[in-house]
Amino acid sequence: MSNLSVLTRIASISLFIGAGAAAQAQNLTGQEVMDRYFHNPKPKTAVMNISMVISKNGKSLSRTMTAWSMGDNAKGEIERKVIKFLAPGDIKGSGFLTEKKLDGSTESQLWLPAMGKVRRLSSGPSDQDQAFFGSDFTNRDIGGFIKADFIYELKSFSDNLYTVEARPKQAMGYELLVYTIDAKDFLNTKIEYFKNGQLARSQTITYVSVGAYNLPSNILMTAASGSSTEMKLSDYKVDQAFGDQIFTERFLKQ
Amino acid sequence: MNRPLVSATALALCVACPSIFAQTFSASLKSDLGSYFNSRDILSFSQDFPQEVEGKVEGKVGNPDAPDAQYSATLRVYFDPTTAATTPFAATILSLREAWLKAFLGPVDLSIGNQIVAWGSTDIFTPVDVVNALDYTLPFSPEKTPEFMGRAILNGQGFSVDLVFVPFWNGDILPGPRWYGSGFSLPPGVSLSLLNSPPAPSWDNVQFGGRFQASLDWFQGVDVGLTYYRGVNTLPANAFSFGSVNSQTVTLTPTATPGQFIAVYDRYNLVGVDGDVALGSGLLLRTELGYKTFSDTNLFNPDAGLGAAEWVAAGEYTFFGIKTIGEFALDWMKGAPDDTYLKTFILIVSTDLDSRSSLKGVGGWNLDGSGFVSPQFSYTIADGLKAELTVYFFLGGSSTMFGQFNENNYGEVSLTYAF
Repeated sequence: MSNLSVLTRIASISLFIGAGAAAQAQNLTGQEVMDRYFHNPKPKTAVMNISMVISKNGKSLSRTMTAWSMGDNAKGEIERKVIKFLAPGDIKGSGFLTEKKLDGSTESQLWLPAMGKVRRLSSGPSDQDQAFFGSDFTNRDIGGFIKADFIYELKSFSDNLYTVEARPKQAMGYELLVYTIDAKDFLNTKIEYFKNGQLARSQTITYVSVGAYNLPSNILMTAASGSSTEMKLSDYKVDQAFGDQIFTERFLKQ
Repeated sequence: MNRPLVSATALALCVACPSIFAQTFSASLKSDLGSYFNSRDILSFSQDFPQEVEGKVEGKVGNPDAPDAQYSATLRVYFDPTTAATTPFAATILSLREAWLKAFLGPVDLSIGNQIVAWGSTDIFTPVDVVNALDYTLPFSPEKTPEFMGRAILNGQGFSVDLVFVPFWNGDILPGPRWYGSGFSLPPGVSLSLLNSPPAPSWDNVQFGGRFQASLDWFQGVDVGLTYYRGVNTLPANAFSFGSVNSQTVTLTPTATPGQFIAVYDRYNLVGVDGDVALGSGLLLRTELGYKTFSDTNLFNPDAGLGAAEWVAAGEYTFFGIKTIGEFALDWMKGAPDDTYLKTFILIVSTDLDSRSSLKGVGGWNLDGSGFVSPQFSYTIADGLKAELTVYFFLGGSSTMFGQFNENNYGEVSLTYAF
């Protein structure tokens, strides 16, 4: 057999496999697409630095933070996050602790040093859909979503991208989220948030490889009102051994 | 001495220090322009332009995420230009604010130094939050004074036990004469002087107490707290009232000298219970009850004037982006023959207009028909630089709880830079 024919055969097999995968991909339901998205490998623990720039009318405000996260809902674990503010001076030392439980409910606590008390936030939309420290992100965005939060419906598949509509099972500030999921690695590259039938916010996400994981490196949230918040996540340290003591009032206050 | 050994030790210390001490410095500069204006003659300025500078050093020893120890020290310099015009030496006040060392010993946090303690669940009326004395210079916006104390906190799984030991007593800083209220009058030309009789530094007057707090996994989270504190009043014992949001009342005993009064401070026992619950609907409910008996009277059947309680019920909800907090307080004082009751309601509404601007409104009403309102606006000019405008209006008849202060309407503009 000539080399050409070998290459042709390899190419044919590759095309066949590729076409098969694409055909299989197109046959996924919205639920299955999101199942794969939520089952992407996540580190057991992660620590990262975050810089946030809030922009409107050409002016900007910045915040820098350190965040700790732990748990994977897809593995039946509670997802926990703690964020501590390092700058600017007027909010330095403030902290946010949030726990996303298996049933989709959220427990959040806020530490404001000037107040001297840790304040509990409610799990409902009245608190969870409030702006996170003046940004275009909400407290709910910071806590993150789990698969059980929504009912999914696949709307389209083109250019190797799935478009999945997600309708919340319980009341939240938006009646519809539209996910754009890359069929290659099942990562979401965009989320659009609709309220009263109008696009209210949209989020684009880019990723960086950290060890075996694809983790967000840049998240840009743009609001229809004209403001935007860019969050840059860097200096990831993954799978470090830290215990539950990080996700406590005690740590929040330190 | 072996020089290389000394040098090596010094070098090792130099190399080690940055890794065992994670220290940061932060500071804030604050400039205020405040003025009283009365409701009939708005802008009869009594000018004031105090400047405040605060510097804070804080650090951790060991791993910053799981430190062995932590420290913090805040120094405040306050300059009052109005005082400077008459008594320059008294115009600048240097004060050490919070300054403490804390050791983390397993589940126990041990700290010593000037500290501020925040106990209880509610925000405005806080009957169990009694450890620190208060500065009532602006009585509607009192500020806690750091107290020197030893403190131990046991952090358990879902609970904590907080014990404090306050060896020395500090009284509240009383407001100026304009806040003495309509029920307190002095003959013309006579000014108030207090013959202070603070509690003697003795074991009998040492203040101590503890608080147990537990978090429960009920609803969307429940916190409950139990408090006991044996303290000494920071306001003179049991006659003037002043217009703080919770209408503090001070009764003074006159001496033979006109305008001179003896200020005595009673010991008390406080038992408190408080809690909050987050409901799935988005509603947060809080409550707090503090029961106090004075002068070592019978705890369960106090003598007239020696038993008091305050119960607070509060709710918090965000309507269309407007955070709303309502607090109702019922105050009771054992009397002879009749007990006295005071009911006050305070409402706070606040919203962030955008990432830079926030608007807040505070309103309080008493059942005697008086009240106060306070619109507040803040604007973040740049990172760490914030401008705030705050106004207080007192409403109601001159003999009512808040209306008696309607000559004391107050406005303030402040600029703060924190870095």
